[in-house]
Amino acid sequence: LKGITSRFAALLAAAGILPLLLYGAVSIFSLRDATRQSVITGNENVARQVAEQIGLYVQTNVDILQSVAGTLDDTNLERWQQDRILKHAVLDFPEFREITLFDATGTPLASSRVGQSKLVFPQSGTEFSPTTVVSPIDIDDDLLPTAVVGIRLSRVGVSSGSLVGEIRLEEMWRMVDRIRVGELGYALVVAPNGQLIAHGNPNEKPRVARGDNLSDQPLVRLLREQREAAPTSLEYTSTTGVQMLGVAAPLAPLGWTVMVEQPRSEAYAVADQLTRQLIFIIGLALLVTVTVGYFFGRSFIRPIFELMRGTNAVAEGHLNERVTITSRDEFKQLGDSFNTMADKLVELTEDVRKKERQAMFGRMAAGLVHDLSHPIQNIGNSCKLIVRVFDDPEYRLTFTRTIDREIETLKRVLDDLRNVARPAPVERFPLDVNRTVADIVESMRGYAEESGIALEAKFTSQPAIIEGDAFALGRVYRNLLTNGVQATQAGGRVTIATTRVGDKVEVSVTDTGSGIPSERLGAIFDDFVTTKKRGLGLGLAITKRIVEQLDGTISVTSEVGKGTTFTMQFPVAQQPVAVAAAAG
Amino acid sequence: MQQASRLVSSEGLTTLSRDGRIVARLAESWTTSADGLNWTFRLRPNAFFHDGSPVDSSAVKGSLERSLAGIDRDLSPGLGDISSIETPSSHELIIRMRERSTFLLDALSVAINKVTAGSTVGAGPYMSGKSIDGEIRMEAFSRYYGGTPQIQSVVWKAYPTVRTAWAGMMRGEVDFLYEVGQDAREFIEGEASTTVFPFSRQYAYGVIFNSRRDFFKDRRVRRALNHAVNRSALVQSAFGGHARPTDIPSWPEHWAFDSSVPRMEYDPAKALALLEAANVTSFKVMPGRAPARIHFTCLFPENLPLWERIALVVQRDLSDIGIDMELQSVPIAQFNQRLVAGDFDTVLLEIVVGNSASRPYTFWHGASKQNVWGYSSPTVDSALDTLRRASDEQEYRQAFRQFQLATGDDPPAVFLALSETTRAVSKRFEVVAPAGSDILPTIADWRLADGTRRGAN
Repeated sequence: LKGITSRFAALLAAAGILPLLLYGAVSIFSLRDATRQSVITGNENVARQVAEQIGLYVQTNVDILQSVAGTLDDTNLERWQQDRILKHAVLDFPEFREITLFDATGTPLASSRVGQSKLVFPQSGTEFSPTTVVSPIDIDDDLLPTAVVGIRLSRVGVSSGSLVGEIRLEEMWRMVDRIRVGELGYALVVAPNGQLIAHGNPNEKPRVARGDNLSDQPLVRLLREQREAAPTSLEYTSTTGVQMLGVAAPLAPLGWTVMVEQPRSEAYAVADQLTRQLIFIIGLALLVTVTVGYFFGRSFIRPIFELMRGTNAVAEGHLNERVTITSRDEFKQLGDSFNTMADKLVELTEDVRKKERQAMFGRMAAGLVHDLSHPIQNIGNSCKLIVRVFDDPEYRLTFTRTIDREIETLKRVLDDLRNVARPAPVERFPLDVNRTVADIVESMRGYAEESGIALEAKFTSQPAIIEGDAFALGRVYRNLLTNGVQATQAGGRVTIATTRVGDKVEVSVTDTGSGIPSERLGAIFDDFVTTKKRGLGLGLAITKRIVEQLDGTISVTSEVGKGTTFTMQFPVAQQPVAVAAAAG
Repeated sequence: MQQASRLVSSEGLTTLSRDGRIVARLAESWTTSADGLNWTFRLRPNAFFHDGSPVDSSAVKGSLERSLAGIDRDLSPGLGDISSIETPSSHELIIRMRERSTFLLDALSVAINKVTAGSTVGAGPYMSGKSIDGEIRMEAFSRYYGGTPQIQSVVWKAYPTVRTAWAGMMRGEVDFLYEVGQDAREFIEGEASTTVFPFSRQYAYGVIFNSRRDFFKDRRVRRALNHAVNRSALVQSAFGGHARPTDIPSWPEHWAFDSSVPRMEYDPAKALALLEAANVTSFKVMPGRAPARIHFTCLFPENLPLWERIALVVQRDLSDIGIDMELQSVPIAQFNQRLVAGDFDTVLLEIVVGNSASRPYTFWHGASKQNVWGYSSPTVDSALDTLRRASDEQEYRQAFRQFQLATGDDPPAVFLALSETTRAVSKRFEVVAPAGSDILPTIADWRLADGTRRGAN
């Protein structure tokens, strides 16, 4: 049962659960990977677009300054005209705080400022173009991001000065502020030196004003180590311990980096939700599979169990047991076949029993004929002879003895039959086994010698007192010795021996006869089983029954051609003193 | 810093609401005689100076007499109308007037202080402490008649820039920024831990003419200049939209303000026509300057980017009608010196318009000492005099309207915009103040969001 259940469970697992699990795992990983990649790509696009907008914004302002430079350079305008152009430029383009024109020595020539110009050509920064330099971003006293743009002017290849403008990049902040990815995702801008120059999260703006440096930020570091200026992404832990998904896009002309940071939990919320849903669906499918498999399996295995139950019952002899299978499949046919087979078996069994009874009756009849015909014939002969020689007292006595003996034989046969039908009760008294053996040997020695058989007895020197019935034991010995004598050729030997084995007294009867084939040994103690050509076969059955009535055991060993040994063991009596007295 | 600390350490008998109505402070109530010459004030019985002495009539009389003898008299013309002060009882004060004056009650908003042992104490919600290392520390006055302030102590500290002050705020060292510049306002507005409180100030930016200069004597020229300036565009380009255009020196939220009075609209064609009418037609050439019908200078203090931008906008607008306004930025000391001396063609100023008519009187009446620009207009003077002596609200309203009309017809300046300023407070505090008004006067009612009493900077 266990085997078929296990195999069926294994089949269900292999055919249903494992593929579903495999499919689920592949689906979950694929879905999660694809969704996450989609999120990363989306955020990268946001970062790239912001970078493009900021780049365009800065480029536009640089273009404005270059346009102003084109108006001023080599146009022979008077100073007041240059001055007016610059003043109008800062009014027309509010991003410009100041624009000042310098000569080749760095002396201001014209400026939008009313007072002294504070600008100088940027000494460091990004080479925006061969003639244009953009200084690093500075957060001014009014908390605004400013940069200084310097344009080198030249007249026929000779330096003729420069035009320097200070730009407020407020709009860049607004661009960044407008970016919101989900609820908690923000954009930020990092300068080439790692300085944070814009942050869309209001709570993080103090870091901008402080000029925090993000050089050690994992994503900034990664981007710096990357050779190609391409968007990249990374998951890392923020300084506040939040798992973040960060993507970065380079702002190539300025060397700035636009990043979009979003808590990982929010970025992957959809992926996680889909994963949970898929796990739920797969779990549900598994549950359905297992449930269906369980109930289907039960309906499949139940007929098998029913058949096994019926088979076992029949095997145990309950031939009237039948199976009930309600399904309409091959199992139903199998069940019907089983029931038909059982019906046939009952018929066959009855037939066999009938034949066995007939055979037994025949054997019994033959045995009775054998056992009774000889004594009856002897009695009849004696009766005829006694009439003839009635006057001869010696003959008369002989015939009388013969008739008595044969009547005794008849009586014994009849006793055996009665004993089989209704076993005689045994009585128990302490008795000495050696004595009972000695008595029977003495009584049967003549019978053995008539057959040319030597009857020997061997006695243990140890006490051999048991609780037994002397008459019943005598019958046992007689049966065994008679069998031994009858199975032994003339000149052979039959030995009866007693020994003490622990708390048992053992009695063995050994002959040197023809022996019993091993295949017949198993049934030798059954009723009406005999190794002889004739006879009822009740002797050993009665013997075994008596031995067991005395709490003893009997066994047989035999070798064809060499002889047979019957061994009996009886428990030693518990009251040795009383026995000794009895034995004495 | 001194001015801010004075605002919370001293109070007057009265104060002015945002619309110019009189509100009782140390004076609990008052009555006046039918001729308006005798005023009887009832002082609050539970008002005390910071030294623990009661705000009684003799102390108030002493304080007012010191004001009458000082600069307050020049700034508050109502004080000049007082002839005598009497103290019939400890909490009753009688003020007798030379003439009826509507300026008296707002003049009595002047701080009432008591001088003891060389120090001056007020009766406001906070007691002034000593100034140490550039800081002024004030403690809540437990006997303040309005109740003990929720915030135990206030420390005033000056910072060189908004950025440094704001950085202090981010570090938790500063809870309140007195003034946030226009440029920094947007940044701080976006900061999650701070609340900003913008409000219109009762000050107007204007390019004020030196009326003694010949080219400003003709009112048509002055009106032409007014029509040449696009105030709405200026508010956007210079103030980022955080201001209100104005063309007269009047507070538009004043209860007597007449909004139906025509405005001087931006109209360059009309400006040119007025110049033509004033016979200002020819262009003169000056070395290093653009040819112009009129050339004059505009003086303003240096290192004030907003002022410079305002000046540039006005300069460009005027250049469109052939007026060359040369900008001159000078150190503040030099600016003040030249202003008092009248050594300027025009000055760019942020001048108080006030929620009281006494403020315009101070600056634009021909007889006022504060009228340093030499402006004199009989119609304006008449309107201001009527305002000062009005006997009822009707007369006052008519005079106010007349002043609006007169300053439009005979403008003393090109008034540009009413400025807006912004204060910022940490969100640790709950600020109780009417929307759009200054939050500082209500500082005694502020409280910490967690309900505790702590110090604030």
